[in-house]
Amino acid sequence: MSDQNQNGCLTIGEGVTLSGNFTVPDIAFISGTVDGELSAREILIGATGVVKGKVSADIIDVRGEIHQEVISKKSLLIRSTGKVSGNITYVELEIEKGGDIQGTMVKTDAPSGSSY
Amino acid sequence: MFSRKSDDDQNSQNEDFVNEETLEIDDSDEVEHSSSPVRHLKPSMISEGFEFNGDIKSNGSLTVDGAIVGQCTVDNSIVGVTGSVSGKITAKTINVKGKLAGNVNCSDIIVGGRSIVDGNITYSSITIQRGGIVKGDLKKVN
Repeated sequence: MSDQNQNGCLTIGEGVTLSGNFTVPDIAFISGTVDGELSAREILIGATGVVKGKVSADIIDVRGEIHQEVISKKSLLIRSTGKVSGNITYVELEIEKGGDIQGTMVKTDAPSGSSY
Repeated sequence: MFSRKSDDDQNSQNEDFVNEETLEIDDSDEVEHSSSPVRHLKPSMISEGFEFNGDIKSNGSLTVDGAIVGQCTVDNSIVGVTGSVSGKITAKTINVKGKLAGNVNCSDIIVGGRSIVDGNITYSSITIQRGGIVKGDLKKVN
């Protein structure tokens, strides 16, 4: 995934707990627990990953959990083990069977000038 | 076999009836592609261009290619590409390819890639195919 070029990437391994606000220019791969705000170009949340707080990215792929708020500017994919709750703002959405999604869904149009 | 049939007429009639019923169930299962327990009702259909105002109640399957305004309580519902349902929908399984507006209460819902669901959904299993649009609150129950 981010093995070849880790510039601008954030990887949080399983068992790691972080709190604070994070701005990641490229890919954030979360297998641990994050407490706080997280924004990136692409966010991949592994099966053991948990984010409590506001998550915003172009592309979001969830196998773990996100609580509170999700803003996806391009595509939001919730896998079968994924769990998302709170306010969800998306442009394009896909949920695999078994995925758990609770909260208010808001669909927006793709922004004309995406910041990334 | 034949001799037995003529011997015991009533019994053979019973057998025939059972066979017929099994055939029918197999048939409707094929049409519905559903895993829900077998039903004795044939699927109902609202065809394209057909507009219906009112409440619908059925223990069977309902395919909507036309438009329904009103409350739907069915076992299994398919809303086709041209179909639309406005109002409260209660069903075991819902497969949406068209439009749904109103509150949805179901155990299993599939929202197709070009469909729009506008309203609150209460579900126990949900699948949204890429591009499907859902507006409103989602609530999971077990």
